[in-house]
Amino acid sequence: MPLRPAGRSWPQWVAGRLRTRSVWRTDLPVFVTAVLLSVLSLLVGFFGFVGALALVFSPVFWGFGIAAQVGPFTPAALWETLVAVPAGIALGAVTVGALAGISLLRDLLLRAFSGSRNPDLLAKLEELRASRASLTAAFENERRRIERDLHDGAQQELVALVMRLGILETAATATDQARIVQLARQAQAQAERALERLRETVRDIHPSELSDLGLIAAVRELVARSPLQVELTSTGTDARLSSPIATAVYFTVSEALTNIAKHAGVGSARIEMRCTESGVRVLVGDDGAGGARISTGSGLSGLRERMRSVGGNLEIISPPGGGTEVVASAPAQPPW
Amino acid sequence: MRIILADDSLLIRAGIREILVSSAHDVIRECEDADELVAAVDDLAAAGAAPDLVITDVRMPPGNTDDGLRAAIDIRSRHQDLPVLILSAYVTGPYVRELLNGPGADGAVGYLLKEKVGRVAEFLRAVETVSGGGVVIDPEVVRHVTRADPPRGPLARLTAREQEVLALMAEGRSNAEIAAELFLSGAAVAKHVGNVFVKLGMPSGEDNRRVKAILTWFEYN
Repeated sequence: MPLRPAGRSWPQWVAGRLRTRSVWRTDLPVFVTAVLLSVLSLLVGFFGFVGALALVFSPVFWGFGIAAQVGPFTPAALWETLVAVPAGIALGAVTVGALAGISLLRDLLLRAFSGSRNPDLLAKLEELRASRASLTAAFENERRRIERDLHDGAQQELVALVMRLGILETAATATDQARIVQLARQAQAQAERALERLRETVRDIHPSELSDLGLIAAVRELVARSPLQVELTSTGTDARLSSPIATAVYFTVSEALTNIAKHAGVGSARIEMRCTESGVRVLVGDDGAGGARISTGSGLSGLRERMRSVGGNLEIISPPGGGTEVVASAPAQPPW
Repeated sequence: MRIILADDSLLIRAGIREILVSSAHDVIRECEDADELVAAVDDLAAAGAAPDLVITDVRMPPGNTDDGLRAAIDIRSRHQDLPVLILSAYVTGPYVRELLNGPGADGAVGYLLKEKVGRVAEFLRAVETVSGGGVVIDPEVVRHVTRADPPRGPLARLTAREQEVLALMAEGRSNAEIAAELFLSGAAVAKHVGNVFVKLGMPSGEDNRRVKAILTWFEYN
């Protein structure tokens, strides 16, 4: 996540942050605690270990004629330096203990500052997740309703019209009216073109194979329609995949193929699809230009949002010049 | 010909019926959903008066998904020789494969886009072809499933011209029509068709070679 959203200057961003309550309640105490305690443990560590080393090696220093002073203690005789050795070991142990204590204290404080309103936040997060899921579901239901309406309404009427025109043509042929036969044929051809357009639109809204025959058949059909030469391998069965998952994966694969055709500069792609009891993982890859990035507002980030809205994820590996791999994965059922 | 017609739209049924009746066919029963269709066929067959042809839509109640196709497959599993013509709103490979790979006699099936009923003469010929044991697949579907990549399996043995001829056979065209379409002589088409049969391993004398060749074409496309 970017620290500063695009389109806001630094001063604007800082001013906005300063007006946020959580900055004063959480961010600032966390920051101060972390800095103070880190400095403290640095000091304790430094002086503790230096003192311990000086004590432990004070007989050696004595041998060189140096009386190593540690704090208030300055050895005055050889036996005193010998006593200093165990004292040095003890100081080392105490220092380690003190460092552990400080780090424990820091953890406790940080957790206390940042965790104090967690139940609240968690509940909000849960709420947001649920509302995203229900939005996605509503969107999906709406698509299906539109598709059904077009199929039962406009499409049926047009088909009936084409049939009527066929009957007209037959009647005109029987009574030998060449001009009417010709006009009827033209009208029929035009109505058929309208149907063809409508059929494509309906497909893009929601392909019938997806709900009728499942994800694998629908992806196979996508492959057949793609201008690319696609090598598809698929293992497992899609029987356990729930409809929101299958739909999200389907549109992800569809968009990924479109992207390859548009941007990759290659004529072929591969799809590796693995369906298991617990979920699905699909890789769409090409050997094209690479360098694809998930940036805000791009098609890829939309796809990732879509996958995340059903509890899945989308990853992209796309080094410049090294092809692109889009990997979508999701559990068989959304986790909420 | 005695025909059972299933479609949930009254408007569509009326159009199809009018065209069939004008050509002296009998629509002996009209059904509004898939269950009714299966029951009607079973009843008539039990009474020894099985229809000559079933014409059905794909998307129908009760499920409003591919119930019509399921009903067709179900019917063919119990009444093996009963010809079935599917009228669909979808140009899609999987449904046709389900139908062709389903139970029943090889052949006596058809898959047409619904609006092709408006091409009255062609539709009536498709009705005759399917009820006579042939296969008719809508040209748009044939074009759709014909892949750009190299042909697989036994199809790899065919020349480009033979593939073209076989695709037209799948649309239910006769040799004479294929000759006209490809600007070839009748003899040349007959030779190509003969080569297709030989290369797909169908010796002369075997029944229904045309249908078998079309099924092979579908299987490997």
